Amino acid sequence: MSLELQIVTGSPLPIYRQIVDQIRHAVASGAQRRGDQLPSVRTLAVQLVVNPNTVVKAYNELTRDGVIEARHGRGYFVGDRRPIFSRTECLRRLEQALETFVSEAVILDFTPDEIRAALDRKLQRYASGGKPKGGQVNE
Amino acid sequence: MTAIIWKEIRENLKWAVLWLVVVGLFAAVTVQKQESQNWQGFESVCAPMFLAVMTFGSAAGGLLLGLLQSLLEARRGQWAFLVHRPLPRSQIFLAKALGGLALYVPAMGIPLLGAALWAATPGHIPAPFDWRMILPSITAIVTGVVFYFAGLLTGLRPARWYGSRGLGIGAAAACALLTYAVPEFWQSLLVALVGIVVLGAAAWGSFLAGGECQPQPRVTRFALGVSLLAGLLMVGFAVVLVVLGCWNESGYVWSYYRIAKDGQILRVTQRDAVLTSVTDVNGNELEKYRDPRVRDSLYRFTLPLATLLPDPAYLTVRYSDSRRFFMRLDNSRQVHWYYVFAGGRIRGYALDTRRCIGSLGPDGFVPVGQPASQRFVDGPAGWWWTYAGVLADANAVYRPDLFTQEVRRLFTTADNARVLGVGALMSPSPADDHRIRAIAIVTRDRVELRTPDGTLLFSLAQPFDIDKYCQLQVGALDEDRYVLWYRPSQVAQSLARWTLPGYVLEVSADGREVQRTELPPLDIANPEPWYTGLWAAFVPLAAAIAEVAWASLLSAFGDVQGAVLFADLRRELTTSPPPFLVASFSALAVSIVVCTLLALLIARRYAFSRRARNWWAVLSVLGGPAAVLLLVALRDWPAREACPACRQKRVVDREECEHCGAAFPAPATDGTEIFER
Amino acid sequence: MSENVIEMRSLTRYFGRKRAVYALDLGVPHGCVFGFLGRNGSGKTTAIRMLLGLLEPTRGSASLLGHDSRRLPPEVRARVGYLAEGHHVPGWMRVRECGRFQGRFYPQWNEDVFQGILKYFRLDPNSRAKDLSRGERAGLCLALILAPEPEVLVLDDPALGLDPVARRALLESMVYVTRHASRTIFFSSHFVGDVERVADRIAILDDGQLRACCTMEEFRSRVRRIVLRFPSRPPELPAIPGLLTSLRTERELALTIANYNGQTEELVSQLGAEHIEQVPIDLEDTFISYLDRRGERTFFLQGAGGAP
Repeated sequence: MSLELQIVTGSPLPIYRQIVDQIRHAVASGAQRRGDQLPSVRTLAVQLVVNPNTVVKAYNELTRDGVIEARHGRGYFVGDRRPIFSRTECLRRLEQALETFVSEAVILDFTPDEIRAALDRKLQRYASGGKPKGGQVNE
Repeated sequence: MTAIIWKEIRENLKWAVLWLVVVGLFAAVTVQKQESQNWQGFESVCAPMFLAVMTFGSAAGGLLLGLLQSLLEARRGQWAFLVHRPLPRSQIFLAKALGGLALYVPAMGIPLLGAALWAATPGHIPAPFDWRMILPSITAIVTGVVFYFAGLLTGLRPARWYGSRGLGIGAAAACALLTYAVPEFWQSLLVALVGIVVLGAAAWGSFLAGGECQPQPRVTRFALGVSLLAGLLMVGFAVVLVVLGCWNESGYVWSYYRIAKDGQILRVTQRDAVLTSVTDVNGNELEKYRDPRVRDSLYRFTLPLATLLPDPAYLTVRYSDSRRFFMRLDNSRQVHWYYVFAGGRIRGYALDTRRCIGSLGPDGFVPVGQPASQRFVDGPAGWWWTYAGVLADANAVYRPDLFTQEVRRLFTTADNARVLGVGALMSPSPADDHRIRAIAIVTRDRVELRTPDGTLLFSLAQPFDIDKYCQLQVGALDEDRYVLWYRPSQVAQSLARWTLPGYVLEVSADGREVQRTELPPLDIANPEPWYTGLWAAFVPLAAAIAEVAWASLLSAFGDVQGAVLFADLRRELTTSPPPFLVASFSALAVSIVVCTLLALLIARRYAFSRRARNWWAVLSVLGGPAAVLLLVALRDWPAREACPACRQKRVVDREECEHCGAAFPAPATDGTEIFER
Repeated sequence: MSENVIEMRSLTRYFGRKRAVYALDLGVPHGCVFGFLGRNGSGKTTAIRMLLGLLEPTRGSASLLGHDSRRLPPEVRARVGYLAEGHHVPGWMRVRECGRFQGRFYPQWNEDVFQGILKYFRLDPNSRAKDLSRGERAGLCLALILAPEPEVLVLDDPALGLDPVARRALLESMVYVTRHASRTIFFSSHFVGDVERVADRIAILDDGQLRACCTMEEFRSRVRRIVLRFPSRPPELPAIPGLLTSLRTERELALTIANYNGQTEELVSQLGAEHIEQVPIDLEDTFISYLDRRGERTFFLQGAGGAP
């Protein structure tokens, strides 16, 4: 399964952040499953035409967040270990994402019902695409 | 490095080929030409026009090639392409020059070789050919290399004030002029080689420093200075010539003696091309010549003279002159006759077949192909120009008849002495204008006169020392009287400070001296108005000192030329009118002071180092305005800004202010700068 | 011990009276991709030429691989690839002849790299350099300087005049070079997007003087864009240190501020805005504001729509 990333220059988001977000999204949506190998730093750099250091920075952040892991000598793989966020941290991130989502929807003049319907549709699509790996909490 | 040589050759090959073709065409045309004024006939590779083609072709070709190779790379990207290589920059320059020369030498050499081979092949030129005749063309080609480096230099230096960029070309022109001033080939070659070294070093230095002056090594900076100075002097010289040419007001006045057909000695004064007066020896006006129309046709009244011995100073023949190798003897329509020095015989060339038909010697005519045993030994004697059917070699006097192709031996001298000069006296009456009346011979001790068939008329002892009075002309008057006119040589005259008189001896038919008239030396000085002395302001003091030193050194060693130079200098100083001298010296002094002050001022303004300042001060004393101009043309001039600490202007290429020692301020900030902490 | 591959110390150059480069101080560490931004005529090319020893500095010095730029020995030049402005190659040379010519000088010439780049840019080995398009010539020049596998690449405005496809190919070549961690790239550009993609560190040159020299992240982190909304016409701005540009509309004031710190924050808050918001910066805009004469731009809607 190939990783399709798109980089936009001149965006408010730094390039490494775009990479992080898109890989995150790919892992969350199931396009990249546990155990899938990610392109090496150099390969991704050549593919995206960006400085390898940028890719290194992105991979470091993803590794730190537990989304991917580096296996010594063999490259980067999608993590199969549970992420190490605490419940509080997960809730904070959820809150942040919700804030963006809801405020946008309200500005666009959607009614709460319409918003909920859209949310359901989205969740269904994720569910059918395979079990999402992130979000599980260390018990 | 060979890659760069190849690249340079490939890049400019088409221009070199074009030049070769153009020069080849011109060479082919001019090598066949006969110079009508020159009397020497078909000089082939020594022909003035051919030499002109070679000289200008080499100079222009070299210059254009040098410019081509450097100007095109003046654009920045190309310069970087050439220079940013893992090669020392000097090697890159060498490769460039070698590539250029590899194109230049064949471009000029092949036409020369072709023309020479063509001329050397029998059947092309009805004249003798000697391979040494290509030497002046070789000098021209070598001088062209000087122009090549001048072209490189011009292309490498950035554009500066008033075209000082092109001064290198002036230097090359000066070198070329100098090669023409010296009489021998090795001297010309030496001058050209010196020019190559100097301009080559200057071009090399400019290549190393990318056109700037200060970063160059000292040697090349010196070479650059010499080149620019030579260029400046050439420009100055040209300017002076133009100004003087336009400003010439009163014309040139001089006087000389002539002998009239009736034996009277005339003193003629001439201004420019007009005869202003004809008097007798003592200066009394003569009735006969009062009418200007009579004066203008004076030649009809003067006695034709045969020059037996000319002034040796006029006999120096330059190596580029074909007269070093052969002498044309006759104006026949079908056959051209040449006295060839190398063979000692007179060779004839048929105009229709353009081949040598044979040669004349003491043994008569020998057709081509057969061996000729005898030759004229060390001939011809004397003033070869007035050959009129009589030829003398070391042994005897002959009468070669070029029409019948016979050689008749007339006689040897009475005491078997070596003939120094021979001449034929023509009949003075217009009726038998081409008749030889007598043959005059001069040896060391005697002057002999014989009839055309050899009978001795008289033999006179030399009245004067031939070394001192070495100019002798002989003429025949109407009633069996002859005149001998002795004049001192230029050298003797100079050494005697222009006091030696000339003498006209009237001799009867039996050899008795009838009358001797002394001719006082005529003043040839043209007094200049005093203000022309002001030109001395532009003369470098060093040149004046060098000339005087050179002359005195030479004369101290006993060299004749040095003594003459010294005597001439002294004469100029003593005979010039005092106002002129005063004007000259004061102009020179003022110029030196002004120039030195100017140089010191510039040095202070641009914060020269002490050593540089001293050097330039000395140079401006010695060089005058030329040195100041050189200073401006040579150095780089940094900008000047106000110092924040002491408010005075300071040069920008020093870290410390030359007045207060403060450094330059840091760049102004406005709070928006982002620098890594 | 200086491990900087490229160093400039107080580098200054005057052309006559005009000051082209003034007191440039910068260092490029090993393995870095360094982007040099500046307008035309701001002195970038002059600085680069001084760095390569093609031009004498008026003051100051530059060094390349530890050697003074004025006296670069041939061994050092062998390790430095330089692409001059304008992508010059002798017009009469064919592409393959260029390769052969260049290869004679470098013992470490890698013919595979050369051919690879030629193929990449789709260059016909037999065509003459003068018949190539701008982009193709750039590819040829790139091939010529990359084939000797230099340690340092100095590129002077390599993307100038290139179409987007050629520009992308150029960028890809640059990223390809960086796969060796020991290679350093120093390039100047106008294209902010390209610089953002490949550069680790940047420097901004304006009118011969250095305005910024830092890593990309540092740059991003130190520039903020603040939008202030006012109830009525925005007031006149006091002098705010680090203010790059301000854009005034009828009700709003958008400020781009460098070196945003507590003091600046306080000044901003004292302006009496009813709403202060920090928005993400537009990198291109920021660069432009560095390179442009700073000042306030106003933008009044001209009577359209009427109501304020």
